[in-house]
Amino acid sequence: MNEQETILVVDDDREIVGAIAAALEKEGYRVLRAYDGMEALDKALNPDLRLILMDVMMPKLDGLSAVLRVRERRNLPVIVLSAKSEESDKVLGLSMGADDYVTKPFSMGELTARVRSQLRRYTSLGDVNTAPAGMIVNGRLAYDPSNRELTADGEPVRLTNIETGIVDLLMRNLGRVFPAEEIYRRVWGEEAWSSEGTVMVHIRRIREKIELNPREPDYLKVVWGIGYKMEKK
Amino acid sequence: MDTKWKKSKAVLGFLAFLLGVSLLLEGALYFGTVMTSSNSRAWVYDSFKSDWRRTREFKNFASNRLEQLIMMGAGGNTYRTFVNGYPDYAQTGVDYSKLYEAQNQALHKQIQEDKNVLYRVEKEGKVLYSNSDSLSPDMDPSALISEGYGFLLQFDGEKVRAWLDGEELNIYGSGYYHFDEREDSYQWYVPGYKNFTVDEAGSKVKVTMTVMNSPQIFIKGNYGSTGSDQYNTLYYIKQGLDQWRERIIQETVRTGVGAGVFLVYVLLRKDKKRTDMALARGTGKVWFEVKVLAALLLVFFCLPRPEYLGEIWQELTYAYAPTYSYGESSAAAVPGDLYINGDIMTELEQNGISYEEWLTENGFDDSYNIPLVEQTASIGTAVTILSENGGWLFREYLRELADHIPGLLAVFWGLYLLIFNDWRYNKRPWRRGVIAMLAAWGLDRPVQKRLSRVCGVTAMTLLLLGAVNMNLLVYASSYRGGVPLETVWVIVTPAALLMLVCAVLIWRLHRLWTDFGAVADQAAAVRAGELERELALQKNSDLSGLADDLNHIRQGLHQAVEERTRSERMKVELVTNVSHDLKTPLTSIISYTELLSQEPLEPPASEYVQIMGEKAQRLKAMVQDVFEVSKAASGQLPVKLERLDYARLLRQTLADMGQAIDNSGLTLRAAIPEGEVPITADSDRMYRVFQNLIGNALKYSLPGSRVYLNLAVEGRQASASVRNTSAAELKPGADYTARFVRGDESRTDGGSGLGLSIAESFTRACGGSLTISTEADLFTAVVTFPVTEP
Repeated sequence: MNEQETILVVDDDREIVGAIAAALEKEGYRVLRAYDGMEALDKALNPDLRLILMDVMMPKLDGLSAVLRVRERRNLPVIVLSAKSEESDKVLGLSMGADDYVTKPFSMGELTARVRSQLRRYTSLGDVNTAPAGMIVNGRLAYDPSNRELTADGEPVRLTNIETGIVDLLMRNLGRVFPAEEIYRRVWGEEAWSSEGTVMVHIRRIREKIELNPREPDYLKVVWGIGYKMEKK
Repeated sequence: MDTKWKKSKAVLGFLAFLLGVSLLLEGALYFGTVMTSSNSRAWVYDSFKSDWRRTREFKNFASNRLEQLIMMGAGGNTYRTFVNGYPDYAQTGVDYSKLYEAQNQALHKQIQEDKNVLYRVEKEGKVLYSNSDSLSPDMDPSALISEGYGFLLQFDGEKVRAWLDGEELNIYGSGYYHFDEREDSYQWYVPGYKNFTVDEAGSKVKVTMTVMNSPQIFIKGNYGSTGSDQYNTLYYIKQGLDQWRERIIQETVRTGVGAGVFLVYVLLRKDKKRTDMALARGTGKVWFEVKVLAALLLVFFCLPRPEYLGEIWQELTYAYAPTYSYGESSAAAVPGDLYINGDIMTELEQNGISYEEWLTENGFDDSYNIPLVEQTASIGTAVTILSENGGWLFREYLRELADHIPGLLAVFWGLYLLIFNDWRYNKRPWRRGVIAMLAAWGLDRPVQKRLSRVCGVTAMTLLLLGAVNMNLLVYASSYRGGVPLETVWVIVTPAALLMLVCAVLIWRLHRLWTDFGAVADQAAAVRAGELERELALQKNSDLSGLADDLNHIRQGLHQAVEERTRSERMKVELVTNVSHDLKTPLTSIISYTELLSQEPLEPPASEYVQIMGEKAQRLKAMVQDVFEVSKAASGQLPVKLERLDYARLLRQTLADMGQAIDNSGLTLRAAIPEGEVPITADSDRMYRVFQNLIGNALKYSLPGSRVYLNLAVEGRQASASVRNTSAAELKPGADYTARFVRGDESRTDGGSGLGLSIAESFTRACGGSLTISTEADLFTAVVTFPVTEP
């Protein structure tokens, strides 16, 4: 199935396009290349196209405008690539219709993981999230409280009992910040004097299972000086 | 409960003060007036005598009555005893004996009904006047004691003998009469002394007189002639003595109570102070002028105005009109004289009578020789009167005050409340009033207020000088004939002009200060960084030059600041652009290095690729750091401040870096308090700060040494310190927070050299402070934040 999936890579820097293409082709995807916004609009008409990787700063038509134009015709997942790393730039990109935002310079491993994640959600779950009743859906993550099962991009995540307890607590309270002691009390069911280290270790393990880049987590976040939370997407 | 008791103690203390001082004041005034008068002293002394018949008053009465009785017997002129200094008609050679007898009969008729004194007057064995049959010249001294007449006095034509309750009194003492006012040596004023003898007529008279122990009132209804009469001198003397005694006892008791209550106040004086302060808070809200006016009104209406004040006032008012006096000396005027004279002269002038005519008409012939002296009475005269009669006037006034105790107390407490207490607790009470408000109107900078005060004092002085001037002017014109009207105009017109000039000057000064305030405001605004405000003064202001200069300085500063801001922004933009431009090729390098590392390579080549990958990652970190530090340095770093727990932040950071700490081979000793230490900061930025600080410590510490992380709260400051022993020698005095400064210059594989700079910038952006200190090889970084109130 993978070999038939076509991805459009757009960047005015030919070497970057080449590098991404090489990495994706190695993963078994078919890659279309474009070097400016107008060209990207042409190539986006290809019916086999499943995903677009789009640079922001490009001649002729910039990336975000191109994303808007593509979105007028087709509902494709779009990952925006940008050298701008600030929070405000990310928010702008995501609000213009991008599904994900990757800052340059990026690692190929992370990029391919994000591509895979977007494709899986697009093809297996459909572009509209139609989750069964009772499921807690948060971006790439979906949690079923009835059987305490977590899926990332539709794939089940294997968690230990303690990890499931933490995920259960945080997924049921999206966006709410829990101090380590409270997590410990609720999950372990006992009082703890120095729970910070223990909780942190488990959080890090969960991140490795659910985050695309565990060093810069999108979901399971630390609010320094306050506690831990599951970011609401 | 406690506060209630405290409150009532304060009220009690104040009431004790009020009552105690009032009573003591009254007592002091009463005893003061009594003790300063010898007459009153004598009365007081007499009133406390065990027997009232041994008092000076009684001796005086009995002596006088005896003299009357002897005269009645001898046919003398008793009327003379009433009017001292009346012309002695006997010297004229005319026989007045019939007239005298009639007078004496009348006197007898008057006093015979007064049964307080029984008397019998006989001449040559024949009873002339008597109001009792039970008296005889040689009666037993104790015969009438049982009937209530304990005092008996007999005059045998030569000497006097007297008995009190049967016991004979020593009338003559040494045998000589001498006058001594003092109660204890006051003598009987009766004949029989060696230097006080009886004439021939008197020696034929024998008088017997007894006095009732407790005098009563006797009234005789003489309806056929004069109506109801009474002659009860003795009764009123006795009553007066009793009243004196009662009053003295009463006042003593009141004063004693006052002293006791005052003692209660002394014990509660600290509590009373609270009431004073509460009262002062109340009076502090009242305008100063109102208080002064109220105090003046109180003094004016509640204190008795002595009559002589009116006379002095007349002195002052008449001082400006020509007055006349008899006699040679015009300075020896006494109160009243001038008044009469002024009146007389006015009357004379109105009726067109000359002074000489008036003198003759009124029986003053040439022998009187009273010249008309023109007197220029003035303030000086009033001062003379006061200084000559000051003591007497003061005593008189004290006596009047003693009769107006309620008014006096009202004035005393009014002044206490309005002036004394107010000035004691309210700092500068005159600053809250109409005048103060007007003086400070529109002027609220300290320098303006000071200037206004100086001007106020000057204006007051000028006004005072003006008043004195006017006074002199009027005084000068009061001389007879006066100063010609033209002269007055010559003086008044320039004075009026001068005042006008003063008013204009003051108005100009007020303008100047208003502008001055605006200039001061402008300077303060420029200092605070408000650089766009234009200073606009009133037209033609004296300070327009200064205002222009200030505006120029402000504009220059404004331009400089704007330029700096612009260049700073440009710098940040440049760094941002450069870092973006660097990122694009860096992306290729990282990507291709990754691709290359996935290719099968021979050992040396694969090692090279690995090194390339690591360096590319460092370059990436450095580019990001440079970007952030330039943003932070230009103050454009966005921070999201929230309340967080400093202790938890450190614990989390330690937990997060646990792996790195374990791998470093160093020991980290953390001392973080158990409880919450709330601060306000940006959570993610502060994590970066401590990640950098601990990371630095791990990177540059002497292998195997210890790193210390402490969190301490001192007062309202929370400080976290990271201390480590440097592996390389630390240069003393190096600025480690400066960009690209590292502990070890020779090392090239460390960080970007921006770690501490970023930590410092982020801390400052969050409202904290980072200080670095080194001592020998000990490196200490302290991050301090104010503790947030819960």
